[in-house]
Amino acid sequence: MARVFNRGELKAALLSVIASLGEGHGYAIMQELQRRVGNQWRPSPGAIYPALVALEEAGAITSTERDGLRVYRLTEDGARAQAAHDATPQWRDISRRADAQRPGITLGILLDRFEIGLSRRAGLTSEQADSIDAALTRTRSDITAILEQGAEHG
Amino acid sequence: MDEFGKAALREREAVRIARRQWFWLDLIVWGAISAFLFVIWVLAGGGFPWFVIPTGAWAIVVAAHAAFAFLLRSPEDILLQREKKEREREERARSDGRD
Repeated sequence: MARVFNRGELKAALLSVIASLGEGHGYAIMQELQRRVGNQWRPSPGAIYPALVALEEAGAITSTERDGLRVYRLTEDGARAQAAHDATPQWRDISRRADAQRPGITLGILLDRFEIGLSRRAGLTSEQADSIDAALTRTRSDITAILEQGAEHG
Repeated sequence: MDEFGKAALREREAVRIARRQWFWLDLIVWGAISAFLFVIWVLAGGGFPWFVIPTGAWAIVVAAHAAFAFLLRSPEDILLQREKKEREREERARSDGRD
């Protein structure tokens, strides 16, 4: 499975999120990150917190404890890094990768659902068999066209 | 360490526990298959201990799995543990100051 964030992208994304929030605690930062990447993606403290610690150790952000929560904000170095063009996260690419990780519906699942819906397994007359065969052939052509269309659009 | 940090630690710990559980399962399967091959070797009248070749080769994989489950730590885990100790030290210093 492909990673949602390439090397360095998570830190750049966190810097961007903290810059837009001004300051925020871990959950607020995680929530904003999720909003930007897409709601289907589920970030976790286990991935975000170490990145925040690494950014703090690098001097890009600083934190203070307030009401039992650690609140993060950018340092001057962090703001400079965030403003640099090469540190701008590519949100569209990140969202596309996150979307690709979503457990999707496959053609096999749809065909299984279709088969389950056909509970009547009685013998067929030759006319019925011909009609159903023709209908299934038409449907197969339609499905193939849809799949080819999807492949063209990437 | 705040609640967010504790949630991160719990999550990492769950991953570590899952890794260790997979290792124990691997070890049990290795032990069972090795015992099975040993019994076949005994029933076949002994001789050259051929069962050592597959079980030995597999043992190398099991040893690598043990290293992965118990010894290897990701950079994120190392950072988290260091951060946890740092925060604990800060809290101890604060509570000592109050006393």
